[in-house]
Amino acid sequence: MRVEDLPGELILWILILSELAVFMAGVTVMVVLGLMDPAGFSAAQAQLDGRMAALNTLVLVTSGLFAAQAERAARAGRRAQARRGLLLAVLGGVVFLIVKGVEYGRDIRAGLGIDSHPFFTFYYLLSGFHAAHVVAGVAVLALVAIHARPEPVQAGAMFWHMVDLVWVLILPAVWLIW
Amino acid sequence: MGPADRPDAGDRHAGRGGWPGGGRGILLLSFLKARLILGRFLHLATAPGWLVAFTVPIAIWLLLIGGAYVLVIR
Repeated sequence: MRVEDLPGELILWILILSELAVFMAGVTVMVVLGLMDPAGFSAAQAQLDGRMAALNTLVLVTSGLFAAQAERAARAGRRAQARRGLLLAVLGGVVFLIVKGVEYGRDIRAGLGIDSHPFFTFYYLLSGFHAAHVVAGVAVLALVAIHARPEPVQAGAMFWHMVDLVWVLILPAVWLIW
Repeated sequence: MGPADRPDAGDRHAGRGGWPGGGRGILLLSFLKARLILGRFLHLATAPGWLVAFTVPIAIWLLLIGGAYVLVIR
């Protein structure tokens, strides 16, 4: 196992590890608090609309597939196809953010604020921080789509897959397990 | 009325039959999806040793979360 074996730029792996550590720490604290108040967390979670999270999971996974396809196309020198894949991935990110906005709007109208319950503090913190990464990812993918060169496309796709990976790890604690 | 004051608060935990069964499946699915992203999309499957280096800590973390839940709630 050598550092040189890691695909892509080393700095991206440092970023991925850092992000995983931050989100895993947040989820761990949320779960510990939830274990001290499982009934409260269960009741709080029951007020969320899980269909939004399910839809966003589907959107993000599909978007990740387009990013992977773009990466392969860029490596093969098919820039137009790479650009198309990246723009579809961007579209997925935009749809994700719209759905997230609708979900937050519904929650806020229902009186579910960040200080309503510790569950919602972590719900907004983790999902909001993740959504900020989606915004950054959309910008990065759109930027690398301009020239669609292999290395930048790989870097953009890796960032996007990290966003997908983080979503998979926060999803159970926020929407599913309580 | 806070979440814990709702009439149905605690129902899912009252019978201690909450998520351990379904939860195990959810955590397993999360792990498999994470492994797929790391191995296929982030290409760690082609980097000797690195896929294990990333997935084992994630697996241990998910097991700790699941185990702590089962120990405390059940």
